[in-house]
Amino acid sequence: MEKNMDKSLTWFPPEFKELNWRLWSFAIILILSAGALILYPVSQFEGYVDPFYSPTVAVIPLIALFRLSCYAYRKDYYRHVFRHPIACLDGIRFDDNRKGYSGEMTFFSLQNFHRYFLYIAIVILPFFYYDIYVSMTYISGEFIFRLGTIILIANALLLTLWTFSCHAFRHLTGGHTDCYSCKTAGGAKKKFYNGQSYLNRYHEQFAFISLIVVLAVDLYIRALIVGWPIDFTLLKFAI
Amino acid sequence: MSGKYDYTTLKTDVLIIGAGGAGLRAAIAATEAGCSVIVASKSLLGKAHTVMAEGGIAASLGNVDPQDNWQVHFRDTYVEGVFLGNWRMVELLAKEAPDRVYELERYGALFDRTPEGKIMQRPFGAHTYRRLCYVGDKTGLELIRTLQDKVAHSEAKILDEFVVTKIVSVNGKVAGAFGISMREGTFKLIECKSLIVASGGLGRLFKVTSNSWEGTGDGLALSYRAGAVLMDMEMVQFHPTGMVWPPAVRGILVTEGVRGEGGMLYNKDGERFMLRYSPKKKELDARDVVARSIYREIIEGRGTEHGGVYLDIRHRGAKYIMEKLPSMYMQYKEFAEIDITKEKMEVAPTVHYHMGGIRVNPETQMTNVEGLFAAGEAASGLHGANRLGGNSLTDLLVFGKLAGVSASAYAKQGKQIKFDESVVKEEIDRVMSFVENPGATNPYPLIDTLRESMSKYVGILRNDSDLNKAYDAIKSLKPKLKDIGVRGSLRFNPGLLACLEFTNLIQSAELLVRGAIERKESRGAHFRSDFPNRSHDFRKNILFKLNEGRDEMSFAAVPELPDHLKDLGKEED
Amino acid sequence: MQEVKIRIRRSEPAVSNEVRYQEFTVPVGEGMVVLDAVHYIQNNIDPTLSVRWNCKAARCGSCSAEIDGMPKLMCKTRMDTLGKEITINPIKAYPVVKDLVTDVSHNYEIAKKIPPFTPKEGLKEPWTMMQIDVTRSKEFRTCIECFLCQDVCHVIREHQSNYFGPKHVVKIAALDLHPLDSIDRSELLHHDGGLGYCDITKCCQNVCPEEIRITDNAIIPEKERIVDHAYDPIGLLIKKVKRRKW
Ligand SMILES: Cc1cc2nc3c(=O)[nH]c(=O)nc-3n(C[C@H](O)[C@H](O)[C@H](O)COP(=O)(O)OP(=O)(O)OC[C@H]3O[C@@H](n4cnc5c(N)ncnc54)[C@H](O)[C@@H]3O)c2cc1C
Ligand code: SF4
Ligand code: SF4
Ligand code: FES
Repeated sequence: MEKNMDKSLTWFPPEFKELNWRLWSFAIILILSAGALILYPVSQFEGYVDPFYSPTVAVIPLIALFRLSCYAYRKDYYRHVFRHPIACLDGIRFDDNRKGYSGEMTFFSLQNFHRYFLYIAIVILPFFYYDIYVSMTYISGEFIFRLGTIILIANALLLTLWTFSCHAFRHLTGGHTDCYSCKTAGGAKKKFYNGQSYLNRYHEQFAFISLIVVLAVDLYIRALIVGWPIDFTLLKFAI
Repeated sequence: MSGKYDYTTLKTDVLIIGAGGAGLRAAIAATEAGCSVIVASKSLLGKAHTVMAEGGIAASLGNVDPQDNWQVHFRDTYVEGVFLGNWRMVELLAKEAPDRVYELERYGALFDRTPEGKIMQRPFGAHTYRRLCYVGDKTGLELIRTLQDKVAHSEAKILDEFVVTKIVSVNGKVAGAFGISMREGTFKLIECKSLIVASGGLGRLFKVTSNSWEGTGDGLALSYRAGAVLMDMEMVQFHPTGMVWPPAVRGILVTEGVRGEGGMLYNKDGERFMLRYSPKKKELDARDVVARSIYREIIEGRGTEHGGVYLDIRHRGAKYIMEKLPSMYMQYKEFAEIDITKEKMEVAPTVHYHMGGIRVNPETQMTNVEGLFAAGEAASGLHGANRLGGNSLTDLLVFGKLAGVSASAYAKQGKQIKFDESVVKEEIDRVMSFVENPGATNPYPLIDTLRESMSKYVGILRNDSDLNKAYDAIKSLKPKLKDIGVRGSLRFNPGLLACLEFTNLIQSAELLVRGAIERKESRGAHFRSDFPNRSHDFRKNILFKLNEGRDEMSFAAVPELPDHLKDLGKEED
Repeated sequence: MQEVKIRIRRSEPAVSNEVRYQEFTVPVGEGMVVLDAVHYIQNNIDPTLSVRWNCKAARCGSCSAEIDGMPKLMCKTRMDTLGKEITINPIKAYPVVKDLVTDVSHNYEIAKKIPPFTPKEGLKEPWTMMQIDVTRSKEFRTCIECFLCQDVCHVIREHQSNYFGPKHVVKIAALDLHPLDSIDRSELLHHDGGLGYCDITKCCQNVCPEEIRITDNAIIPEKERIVDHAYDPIGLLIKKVKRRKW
């Protein structure tokens, strides 16, 4: 992206030229969801649990901290909020040595506790799957499969992918190991690590898409409450 | 103000010229022996030509083919060198190779492994068994990094970006070396008790070459002027496959691995011509055979429009190619915009290695100049008339170490030889004449002329009239040496370097061509279309020595095999 | 034949403070790379133009420069990927010696501080190692020491700190991940190496000509190792327990 940037547009704020849609959408999503949560709290509707309430709205700060200390988001806000540096190309880096810079040495060394938020996220993750189950069986004696359930499944899957493609998780699965063959089932461990590493390549993308989907689920539920007739039923039978 | 004749003096026991594999391995040996060591190198530490080596390092570990042993390695090397090699050097190489490779591993090199966890070995041209230990296709890089790390953590002093312009010798004994620190832009004299030349080859003498910038034969010319004997100068190896198009990348190596993985050669009519030249071994015959066949196709008008032939690996399928030859894929994609999984490569022979060089004593690597040692590509005698792939890296480790050990032993007994300061002043005058010469001619076009005529006339197929044309070209260029010069200072002045290198190139070129004219037979890499057969009378090394300003040529019979090796190196005509 | 204008930053700080951009016009042939253009200038226009190069095959990492503001290898950058006007600067993170040549010796001093490979004790020779254990380290061993990553890293380029820089983290990762190595260099990286200054903004990963995934595969894993012994209380506990060999 940077390589092909038009240099004649020097007056243009680099934040826009850099196409850092991730940061901007993150900001917009934060504002939207905070507003929605505070002004029009909705916890569930017709068997759909709003993802912000799964399992309870009280865990939101913890999840937020997991997001904030995620390596993908860190990169984004260090670049675009703190400008260290905005871009790699000479001339539009907007970083200079007069600004005091301490990286992750002082306050931001708290980022090093990212793995604890990961542990919490792993504990919370099953609830999203439980929500899928609930959405299909919320009327007793009946199984129902609707469009919303598909969205919930997508949500749960993406959150899972994001959580388990985490760098801290990669450290756990094998990043700390120098010698696999010295361990029992080392070959299997290495295979698992390689698989996880493959997911890890796309961690930044998962981080972003999963956030969008969470918001999308929230908006979907809100649309249903307002009465939009979009929740098609795909399958329904008695059990 | 500093004066014209200002220089600083450094003192050391052992001075090593060259920070390639041979130089660094020698430095390790000499520091371990307790000597003070300086390693001087024209390029930055870790950038030497050796980083480009791809294929691997030959050692008869027998990890994949347990039948392999040092005797077979000896036979392969000696026979493929067409009985021109020094048996003792070949014996040392074959015997010590496994130790040196395991030692490299103990220093931290990480080789590819067999399923049992041993060092993996791959097949290569003319090695009977799978013998090349490798690190992907970056073996040289790993070798340099490992040695570089070891040296960086030792007492040895690295003097990089330092061009040696003269080796000082007095009455057949080495006393030191003189040169320019390019970074500081100053002269330095290094006094030493013994000196190891590990300055690599002379591929840059040719227009089309796989060699890096440093391969200008400096070490050969400097040692020659210091009184050392040069040997087998005519033996230049052409690698069959180098890139051809675009012109900017002509000469860059296309690894033998492509043919190893099943690549086939075609001429412009789509004929797989190797079936004609070598029905049995086809594309995988020895390097000189394949190179000559390709060359014949090209000069007989069956080459491509860019002057090459086609190398085709497409039948292997994209997945296989990407897996086995990733850097070749990258190389063509990046430099030629060719996708080798979909298109044919164009290749032609490229100058690759110089088997000849400084003559050394096989037991100590010492030259005829006392205290002057040589190792690596700069030395000669090991590969004879043809080098096997992978044997060079082994050479660097085995003889680099040997040179280091014997040079430090010599330094411990020897005294610093004294010499007159006028030697230094003379050298400063010589170097400064290049930058203080206002009306001087630019050396670059002259170097180009030299390289062009070398490539044209001293190529794969040689004959008397071509060689003489080259000789004439050299003779007509020689008088221009005193007119060349550039502007500027001593600090990173590429023009000045060109002047210095041109002087060295001309020296090596002259001896190389003279040797080639004298060798009226075809042997290994040296092929004369006017004498296409091997002749027993020429089982001799051609030697050159500077005697009171005149080049003296002589012949020396190749040492006869001792009894215990007789059966291994039998000559079958 | 097409012509291209090349502006090159010329200076020799040891002689004068003067810095000028000199413009050259160079004919461009097929497949030409930037280094060819610089050589053309040397051979035909100005033989004193200094440039560091060696292999011209993207194998040695000598010819680093900033081409139109982007750190790249001159021998790997084709002219036809660039415009009609090109600016070449020396890499900015290091002091210029002359023209395009910079003094990168600082890197060799850092290299000395990194403990070399130290094998475990009592290994049976010849060593056995499994391919699955060597593959991770191999990625880092393709580093050609071009220092482009060092140049583009804002911690080195724009700030003063003790941070070693991405290239050296790659080196440390290569050594740490050797299956038979016995030392953990992440402690050194934490204290003397200043890895905390890296804010994982991935410029280094973007410019590496060897396509080493520096931030993802070397820096972040080393950061996580640092967490183990410097931040994570549970990790510390586990370490203590292990050391006592219960
Ligand atoms: C593309 C390629 C692939 C190859 N692949 C293989 C392979 O797979 N297996 C194999 O065995 N061999 C291979 N070779 C051959 C092998 O790499 C070389 O023969 C070998 O590296 C030579 O090493 P050296 O130590 O003798 O000298 P070099 O590595 O050439 O080093 C020469 C040193 O001398 C210094 N020097 C030169 N002149 C001066 C001077 N005037 N003053 C100060 N210093 C000076 C240079 O700076 C440099 O440090 C390959 C070669 C090439 C070109
Ligand atoms: S990721 Fe870290 S090391 Fe790489 S450029 Fe950014 S700050 Fe520097
Ligand atoms: S890590 Fe990549 S960019 Fe950095 S020095 Fe090595 S090869 Fe160059
Ligand atoms: S000259 Fe070696 S990398 Fe460019």
